[in-house]
Amino acid sequence: MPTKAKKAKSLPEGRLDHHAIDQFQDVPIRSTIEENNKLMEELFKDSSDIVLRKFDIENGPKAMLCYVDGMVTTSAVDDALKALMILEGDAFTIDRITEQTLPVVQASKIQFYKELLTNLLSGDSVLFVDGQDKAVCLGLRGGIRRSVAEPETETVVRGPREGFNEHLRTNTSLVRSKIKSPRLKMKSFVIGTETQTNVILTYMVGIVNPRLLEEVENRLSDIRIDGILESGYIEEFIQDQGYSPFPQVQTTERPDTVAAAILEGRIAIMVDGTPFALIAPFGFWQWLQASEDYYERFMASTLLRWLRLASLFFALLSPALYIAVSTYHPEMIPTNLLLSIAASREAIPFPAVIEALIMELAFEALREAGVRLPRIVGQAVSILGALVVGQAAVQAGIVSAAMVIVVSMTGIASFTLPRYNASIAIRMLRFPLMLLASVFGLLGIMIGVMVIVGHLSKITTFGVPYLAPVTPVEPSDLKDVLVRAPWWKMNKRPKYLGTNNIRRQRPQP
Amino acid sequence: MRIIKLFFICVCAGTLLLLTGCWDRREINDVAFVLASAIDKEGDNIRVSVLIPLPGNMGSSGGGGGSGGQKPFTIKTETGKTIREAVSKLQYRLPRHLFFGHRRVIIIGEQLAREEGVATIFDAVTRTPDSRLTAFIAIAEGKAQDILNSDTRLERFSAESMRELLQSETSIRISVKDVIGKMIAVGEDAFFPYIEKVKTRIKGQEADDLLIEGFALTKDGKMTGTLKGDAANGLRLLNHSFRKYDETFNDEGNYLTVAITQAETSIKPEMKNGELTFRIHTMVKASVNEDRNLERNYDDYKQRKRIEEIVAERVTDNIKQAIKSMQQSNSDAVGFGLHTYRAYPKIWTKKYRKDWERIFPEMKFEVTAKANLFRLGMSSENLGRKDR
Repeated sequence: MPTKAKKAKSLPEGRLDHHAIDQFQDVPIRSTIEENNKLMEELFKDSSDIVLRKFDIENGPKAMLCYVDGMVTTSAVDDALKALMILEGDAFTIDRITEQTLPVVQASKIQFYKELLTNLLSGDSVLFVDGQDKAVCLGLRGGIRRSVAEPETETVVRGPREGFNEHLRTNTSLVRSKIKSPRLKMKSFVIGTETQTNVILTYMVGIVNPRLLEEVENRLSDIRIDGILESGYIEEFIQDQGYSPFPQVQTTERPDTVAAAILEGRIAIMVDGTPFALIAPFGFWQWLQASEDYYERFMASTLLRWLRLASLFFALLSPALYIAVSTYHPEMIPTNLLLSIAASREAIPFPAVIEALIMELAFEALREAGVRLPRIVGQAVSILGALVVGQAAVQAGIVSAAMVIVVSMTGIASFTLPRYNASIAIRMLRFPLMLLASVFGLLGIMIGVMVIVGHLSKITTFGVPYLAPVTPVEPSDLKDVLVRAPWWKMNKRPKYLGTNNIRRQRPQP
Repeated sequence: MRIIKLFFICVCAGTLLLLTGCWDRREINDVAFVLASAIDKEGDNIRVSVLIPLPGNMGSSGGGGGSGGQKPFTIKTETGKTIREAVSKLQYRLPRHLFFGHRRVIIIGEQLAREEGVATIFDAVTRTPDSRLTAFIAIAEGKAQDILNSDTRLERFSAESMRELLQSETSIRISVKDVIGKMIAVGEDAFFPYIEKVKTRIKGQEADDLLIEGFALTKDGKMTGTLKGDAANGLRLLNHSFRKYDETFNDEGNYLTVAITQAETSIKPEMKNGELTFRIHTMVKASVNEDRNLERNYDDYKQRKRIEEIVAERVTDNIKQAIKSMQQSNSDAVGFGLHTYRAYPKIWTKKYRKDWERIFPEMKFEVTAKANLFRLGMSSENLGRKDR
């Protein structure tokens, strides 16, 4: 439960630019077309994609239609234009045009320039009529966007293959189609003074903890920055502990993940322009949960969760353990394994630490390069990197075969974590642990792990302790942590989210 | 301010790390792992030999293969007044640091065991932290160094061969901590497996084999005798952790080999008229391994009973022989003294404890046995027999 309201970081007030939209707050729509035209032309002086189309309403006053080329559905705008140019009746006022003439579903009347500019730059078409001091916003948004496709970072074997795209309305409709309940609320925020990005807060009223909701809303409203381009900007503003390596907000591209989280009592934040939605709060045990766990049967999912937990430890500790045990505690390895390792390390010029660091850094570089490779070249280079370089390095006697095995095991283990931001945290923490192991041996690893666990116990995610429900212990919530209880047993929502509405299932007969 | 404080803390921590360094660091290729050590007596000194594997010759990485001339291990030896002195003198000659953390076999030469006793050398093994207390220990016939130097073909190192042999079913597992427990207790003495070296003399296949046929008995750490053959089987039966062994009988001219698979021995001290005697009863389970008698009919109850009687008789005989040998060597290997203490603590402490050495060789034992033939194998009669 959120206990302290956090002051979000933001730009100091005095440094806002001159042409920010806010200053048009009280500027009213002018009455004549010429004045409006002049203002619009001055404002959009060097923007060739803003179209100002002047025309005459049939038998009526002059009018002007403004829109951003590329962000509207041109055919619909043509239809609206046609309806006005071939006017039936004599509606010449804005009110009557809106009510009678325009075949447009979303039409709103506006009086001040701030709203007009915001809507115009979001893709609405704006109609000015000579002699009227109001304008009409026609919601004929269009433009070409990436279609709804399978999310690239979160693929599943079983489950829906829809992923969010950059268009906010598409995303909200995807979530809405999963939860057909009037209790699903989509609260809208506009963040970023220049980008005026639409941000939507999604939750289920009655299930979500009201204090959590209030806290998230406060943090969102406190953000003062010129542009929000991706949900990552918002994530860094609203998280609890900025300097911790561990993520406190979950990111996902899948609407079913968002819907499931909302049904549990969490809050989702969707940002226009990015397919990644945020889900708060996000604790340690969510690192091991993938949406596929809930679609397969519980036994398979439970075993996979244990595998992920084991992989977590491998990814974090393997290189450090290898260094510590081979350098300080050779008595811990079985004799035959030790002799094999000794045989493979016989001619290596580096001590174990340096070897490990070289291989790990090479692996990280390879991984980073792999992200940026063009797809055609990618296959060949990955084979090149893995096989040839690794094999050649072993044969040249620069690294030992045992080290290559450890590094590849670590790499594979770090990819099994379903949450990318969590696996980044683990990858980062590997290196300090390796250095500690090289200086202090197993004691160093112990110290490092204690520091990490201590840190994990201390941090919170929106007020909820990071390691909940294991510490503080809540036995009824443990059914989804290390095992995945079968669906007929999951009849309560997690208590640590502080929801008022615990029961989600009627007891089975 | 906070940043500056944090910076100073980081600098201090970093400096501390660099100051301490890694004083204990030892790369694997700077360590010589000792897999087995052999301790002999040479005049007044003690000779220590160690077996060190050579990872470079094990040829796992890279091509290699085919160069069978080089052995994958080496044996180094040195003398000294104490074991630790010998080891440190040996260290002066080696480029790698000796590491005893993987030493799993300790062999003691017979001369050392008989003259000086095992008890004095234990200090070297137990005082340093990097020795394993779970190492197996055995006494060698003759010089222990020869045992270490044998060319056993089945395993890479003779140490591996010894270790596998010592933990197999043919021997009783004695580790250093077992020996310490037995030597400290009054009323029990330690016994060790007795290793001998024999040769395979087939032309073209000359090799050495290590043989464990019996046990060495000690009294107060000094070796006083050996148990071989039937007496060794008797000791196996009396030992609390029994492992199966085979016995061959001559039954009216035909030989019969039976495996004794389970044995439960109860040793009960009894006070009869102020005199202490022991009643030993054994229940064994036997299974037939090979029967050279074509006429035997296993469906006949009387014939099966006869086998059981033969087995029981042999078992009793074995135990009696073992006890006789123990009494002759004055070595209470089974711990009869301890059994007495558990049954009659006050009498033990008052009367027998101090004089156990004198009383034990005169002790009387009553031995009975019962056998149960519970398994005949895959066929119930000798399949070589022509059908009637």
